[in-house]
Amino acid sequence: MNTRLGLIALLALPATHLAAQSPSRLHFEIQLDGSELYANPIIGSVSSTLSGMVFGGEGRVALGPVGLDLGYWQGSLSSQSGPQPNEDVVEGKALLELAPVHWFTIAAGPFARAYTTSGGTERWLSWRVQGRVEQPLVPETVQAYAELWFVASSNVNVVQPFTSGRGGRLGLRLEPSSWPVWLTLGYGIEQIRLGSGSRIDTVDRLTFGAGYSGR
Amino acid sequence: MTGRRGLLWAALAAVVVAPSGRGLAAQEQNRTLNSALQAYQNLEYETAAALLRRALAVEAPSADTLPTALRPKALTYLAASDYYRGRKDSAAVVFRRLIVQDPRYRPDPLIFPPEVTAAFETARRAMKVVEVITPSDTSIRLGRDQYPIRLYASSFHEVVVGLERPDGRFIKGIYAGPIGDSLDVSWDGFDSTSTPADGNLVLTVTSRPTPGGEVVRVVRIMLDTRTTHADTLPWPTPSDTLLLPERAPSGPALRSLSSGLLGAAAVLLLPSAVGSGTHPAGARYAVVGALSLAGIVGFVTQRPGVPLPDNVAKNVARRAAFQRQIELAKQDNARRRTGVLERIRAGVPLVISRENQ
Repeated sequence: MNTRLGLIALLALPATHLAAQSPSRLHFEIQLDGSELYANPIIGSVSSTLSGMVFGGEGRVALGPVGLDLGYWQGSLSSQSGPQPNEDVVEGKALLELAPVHWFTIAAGPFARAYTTSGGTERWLSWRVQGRVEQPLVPETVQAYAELWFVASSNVNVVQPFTSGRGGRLGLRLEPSSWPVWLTLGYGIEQIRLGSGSRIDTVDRLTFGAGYSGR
Repeated sequence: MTGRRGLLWAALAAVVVAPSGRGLAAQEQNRTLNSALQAYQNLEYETAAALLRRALAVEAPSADTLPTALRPKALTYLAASDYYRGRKDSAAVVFRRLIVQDPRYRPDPLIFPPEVTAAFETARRAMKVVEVITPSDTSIRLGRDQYPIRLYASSFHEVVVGLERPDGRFIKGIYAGPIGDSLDVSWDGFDSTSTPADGNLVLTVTSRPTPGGEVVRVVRIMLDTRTTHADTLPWPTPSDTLLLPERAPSGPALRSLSSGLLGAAAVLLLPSAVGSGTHPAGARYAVVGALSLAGIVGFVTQRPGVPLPDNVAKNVARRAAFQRQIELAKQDNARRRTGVLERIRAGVPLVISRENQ
């Protein structure tokens, strides 16, 4: 709880300062995407592999340097190897963002994930702190981005306590100035350790999406 | 102690209450003039004349000598007093003195009776006096400006306006002809040979009752003239940031290439950086390829030396604008080089008249 409060305070203080400096400019973007998701849980020495597609989208609204990033995805994963049965997956996030400069954004907030099997539902609620940088590769056409985050805390309804977690995502966005929408392609991976490594959950995904920006 | 304090307060009160010497003189002048006017109203013309003569005494100025602004009024009352004392010759002399001092002055017909104003008019018609008004210190652009000279005459007569050296050598004639009430003439700054006049000159205004008649009065004003050339302006200097690069520099291209390749490498290394024991999906190679390709495309489109048409067009417009500024500066400087400035400072008018002699 203390970590959460610290993160909120960390974001709130510079946010008020930057909001006073920057012009009030409303910006929003919405993205619909599909991901090929690979889950690789390792419990003890037993490893399983699941894969499947999840679909959803995310939206972002920002006023000046402060923004809110919301997302929701759901899909089904099929067991490829190991004892883990097929499961449905639902994900959601709500990150508060702060952009001190146009090419860098720091964000923090909850990320929730639920795996549903015939035996029950496993719920993960993680608090994530992430940084994102953007760099144009082809002027006014292609933009690259990279995100790195660490999981500050996690609440999972399993017996093992949370130990650590981190992840990252890289990709590019094709957004010629003459196009009304943009296309994006990215790869991301996240690993969370529970019970000092007695359980390791790794999820990586390839995402393709299309979106629209407005102001 | 009490006595000292009393003296101190008395001295302070004296400083605060006592008027200054100048204030005392002004009060005395007004008192004398008011007494004279009161005597005039009471038909005590002898007293009025005596008081006014005392107030108008200039050769031995005293505290009750009137300032210049009040003199025409006092002179008029003095002439009227003399007139009613039966001393019409004396009244005419006072009127002539008044006209010499201010040729534009006229007695108020609502204050003075017709016989007084008629006597004034008689004196005025007989007087051939010109007041010359010139700027005390001015500069004119030779060939473009004129030095203004305004003349006010007491009555219709002939004047000759000219310029000469202090030793009497003729420089230029400005005007010769009649003058009625007033006349504006001007001098172009050149002498009779169209050469800019330089040095000390004398502006002379000669009054004659008739064309070719006897000279009755000459006004001489010393003119100190100095010719100078106007300074030219420096040409505008181009700003360091005036022109944009017309060919792409190497920086952006290399930045795009390195960003794309580094991003691709980061995708490859990301699984092992995030955690050990991961088995990342092979699909990430699609992102590796896309990032690498985009970096290469970015490098090619911005490769060093590629012409930048937008910047070229902007530079053409900026060069043209800068060239226009230079042309304007050239034209202005050409005008300034040919333009000669003449500074003219006028002295105090000196009057030579038959009456003074």
